[in-house]
Parts: sequence; C-alpha cells; structure tokens
Amino acid sequence: MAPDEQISDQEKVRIASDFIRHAPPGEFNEVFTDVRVLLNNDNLLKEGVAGAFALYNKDQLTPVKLPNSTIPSLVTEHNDIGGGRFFDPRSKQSFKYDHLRKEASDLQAWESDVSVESWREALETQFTEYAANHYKHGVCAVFGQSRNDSISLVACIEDHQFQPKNYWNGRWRSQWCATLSGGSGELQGTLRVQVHYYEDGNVQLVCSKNVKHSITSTSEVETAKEMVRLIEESESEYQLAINENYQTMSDTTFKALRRQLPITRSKVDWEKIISYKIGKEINKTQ
Amino acid sequence: MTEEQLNRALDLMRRLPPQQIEKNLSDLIDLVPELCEDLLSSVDQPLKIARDKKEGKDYLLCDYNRDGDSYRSPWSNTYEPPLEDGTLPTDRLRRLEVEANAAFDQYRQMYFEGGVSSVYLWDLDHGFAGVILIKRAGDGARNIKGCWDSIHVIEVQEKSTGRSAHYKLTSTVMLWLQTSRPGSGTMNLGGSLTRQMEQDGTVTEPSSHIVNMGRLVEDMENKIRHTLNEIYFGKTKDIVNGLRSIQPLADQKQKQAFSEDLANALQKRQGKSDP
Repeated sequence: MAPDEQISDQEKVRIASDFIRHAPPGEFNEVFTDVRVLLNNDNLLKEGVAGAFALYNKDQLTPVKLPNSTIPSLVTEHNDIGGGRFFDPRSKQSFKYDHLRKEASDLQAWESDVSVESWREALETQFTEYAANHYKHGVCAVFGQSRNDSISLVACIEDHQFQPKNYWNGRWRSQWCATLSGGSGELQGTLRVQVHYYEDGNVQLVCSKNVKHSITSTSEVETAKEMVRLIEESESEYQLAINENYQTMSDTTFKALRRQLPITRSKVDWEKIISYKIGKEINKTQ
Repeated sequence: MTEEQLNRALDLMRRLPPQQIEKNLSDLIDLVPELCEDLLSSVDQPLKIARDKKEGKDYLLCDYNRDGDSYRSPWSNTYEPPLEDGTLPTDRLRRLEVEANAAFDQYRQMYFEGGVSSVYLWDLDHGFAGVILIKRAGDGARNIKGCWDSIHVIEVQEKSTGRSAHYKLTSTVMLWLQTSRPGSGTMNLGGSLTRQMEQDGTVTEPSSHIVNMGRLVEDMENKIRHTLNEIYFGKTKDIVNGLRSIQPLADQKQKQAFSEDLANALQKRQGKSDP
C-alpha cells in the first residue's frame, strides 16, 4: 500500500480493537495509550473502540473491589446485566462498572434467581475455600441460572501478579461451567495462563486447556463437593503438565536447537576457519 | 508527531503477543502507513527461507537484502524475482561477503548442527555494516515444535590507520516453542531478547574483520543462549507457579507456623541459658 493510501475508519476500528483485546495482563493502560496516539482520532476511539474495553475486561475475569465489601468480585460475561452494570451474587448487589478506571460505583440491591440459589451458594462456599487454598491473591465468583429443566452454574477464579518495575506480569484464569439436570450433569472447564516478560525483549507464555467431566448430582452440598474435588484434581494435573513441558522444552527441544559449545567443547577457531578458505582458494588456482 | 508515533508503535510491538508478530506488524502498517519504512527496518520478524535455484541452496530473507519486492541471494548475488538495477555490494565488499557467508556457514554447523545462515553486507562512509542471520527449526521430537532465529546487525567503523576497527553489535534472538498435548492443552512459549555489545579489533587483512565479527557474534550468542534458558525455563515458569500453588496453602501455612514456633522456642531456651 502506498504511504498516502488510507484504510477505512471501519478497518481502523477493527485494528485498534484487536490491539486492545490482546493487551497482556496488567498492561491495558499502556496499550490503550499506544493505540490512542496511533489512531489519532479520539472520536473514533470513543465511538468505535469503547466496546473493546468491556470485552477485554470480561475476558480477563477482571477483579473488582466493591466499596462496601471486603471480598472482591469479578467482571465477566456471566454477570453482565447490560447498560454497563454487573451483579455480585455473593453480596447480592449490582454495580456500575467504569471499564477505563476499573471502578465500581452506584451499588444497588440485586435479587438472585431463587430457584438455583441454594445450589449456587453451596458451590460458592466450597469453591471459595478451594480458591483460598491454592491461589494466594485469587478472586473467585459463582453464578447460577435456571434454564428450562436444568441448573446452570459458572465458577470463575482469577489470580494475577503484576510487577511492571521488574518488567513482567502474569495471570491465571479458570472458568468452570456445570449443567445439572435430573441427577446428572456435565462439568466443563477452560483454564488459561498468560505470562509476559519484557526486559530488553518480549517473551510471552500463552496456555489454554479445556476439560470435561461427567458428574452425578445428589444434594447441593454433596454435588458442590464433588465438583470442587474434580476441579482441584484437573487444575493441579494441568499445572503439573505445564511444569513437565517446561522440563522437556529445556532438556530436549532447546538443547537440540543450539549447543552450548561445539562438539569439540571449545569455542570456534576463527583464524582456522578463514585460513581454510584461503587454502581452498590456493588449491583452486593450481 | 511521527517520532512519538514510532515510539508508541515500537512499545506496542513489545507488548502484543509475539506469537502474532507478522499480523501485528501488518495491522500497524495499515493503521499508520507513514511509519511503514521505519517499522519494517526496526521491527524484527521471524526469518523466512527462500531457495536459490541456481546454486541449489537456501537463504534467509530480511529487510537488508530486500529491494522493493525482491530479495538478493548471498550465494548467487542476484535478486529473485529478478531486478534490473537492484542494490548490490561493491566488488570489494562482495568478496568479503562471500568469505563471511562461508565462515558463518561453518559456525552455524558447529553450534546448530543444521539450519540455514546468510550474511549480507553494505557500505558505510567509514566502514561497512552487515547482518548475520541464522534460522534453526527443531525436528518436532516429543511433540514440541521449536525454532531459533538469530538476527545480528553489526556496524564496522574502520579507523583511519586501517589497522584497527570498532565493532558495534545489536543482536536479537527469537525463540519459539509450542506444543499441543492432552495433559497440558496448547502451550505456546515464544518471543525474543535483544542485547548490544561493542569492541575494538585488530585488522591486518580484510579477513580479520571476519575473525573479529565472528568472535563477537559467538560471544553474544552464547550469552543470549544462557539468558534465554534462564528467562524462558526459569523466570516464566516461576511466575506460573507463583500464580497457583499445587500444594494446599493451608498446609504451607501450617508448616510455616510450625517452624516459626520452633524458632521461637529455641530462642527462648537460648535466652534462659545466657548468663
């Protein structure tokens, strides 16, 4: 494309939104500022790209402090009630969420779905204990919804470490969805890990795994306990598998790409290399 | 405005997942076309391989051997697709370039035991500059795909005496590792590190430059290899394990409380036995 050709505003919005949505954990503000300067059109940014801010925060399972509660909640697609508002089932409130400031305000009472509340609460109790036991600064939330004859429960955990002064950030996200109906059900999990290291470079780890389990549902508490047992098992298995991969990558894959030293166990003799070439030249002319 | 935009663009490229460098760069150029040339010359991309059919050898593509949409092969010194008057090194420099390619070809074989390398040189006012490229793809063993890309850009300032020169090296090494397995799902660990080094060297004949450049590149790559090992398989792994603990934290708290109690008890006993 010639330097004076311009793409359409729609294309610019698509590109700017893509960049925003791929910001590494903890670096939304920096990516936002970069995109703002490059787009150089604040109106277009406000009108066309603002949607991407909300999508990003929901996808990241962003933790949010509630002014009147010690236990934070999460901003996700599962508790989005439209109009920029989300609900927190734990404190039975809804709140307005500012996607740029990452702040909750305008708290109002919110009524949960009574038909599934006993199931949701049972899972919330077990799940919160599990999260506290494996995620030092983790935030979790459990949502419940009734659908025809089935109960749908979603349990999310988020934990992160942001250390921009040391040029790194990382985030773990777990999302578990259970569909229960008539004594049985299915438990589906999506586990995601992302790490960004950027001192004199740009190194990123991007991992994801999907898990599926069949479950039997008896009482609220027993079912919750079984789900959490499976969740703990799956997540620990996943973390072990990641560690095993690291071992193989460093022992096998990396070593096979470049040796520490040549097979002679000493560095290259560069004088010899160039004299070999000169020798070849001499032989050629004879 | 354009300089600030270039800085922002480079900052963005350091933050977006490197696994999508090509798409990110292409989108960035679409968004800010005025930065096209600057971006192409300052953003490192994974190296692409082309085949020199005349010489029957592979060579690597980068911005330094590109002229328009054509690329120059270091083996045949011609452009593909052919160009009427594509940029070529001077005869003197071409002789050095041929030697450099042969020398780094051997270097590549000794350290990488495979892969492809290419060296491109161009003239400067008081010396010359060059880029040494190496690409090594893994064989996919243990179900893990790996790839190493080296991009070494070197500036050689020849001193007026002609008996020494100053070498400035800026190196980027890209390392890509990915696997898809039932236990761990998809795992993608990739990106690059950049370092700079400079030193003086004695020059007795043109080939001395190759010896000096070779030593500098070798030392640099060995250093970066060590750092890659530490960052990729040490640091990022530690960060993951800091996000979630396989061992229940309650157990760890108990262990910590126990060892603290023990330490306190020992201190008390020592306090009692002091005169």
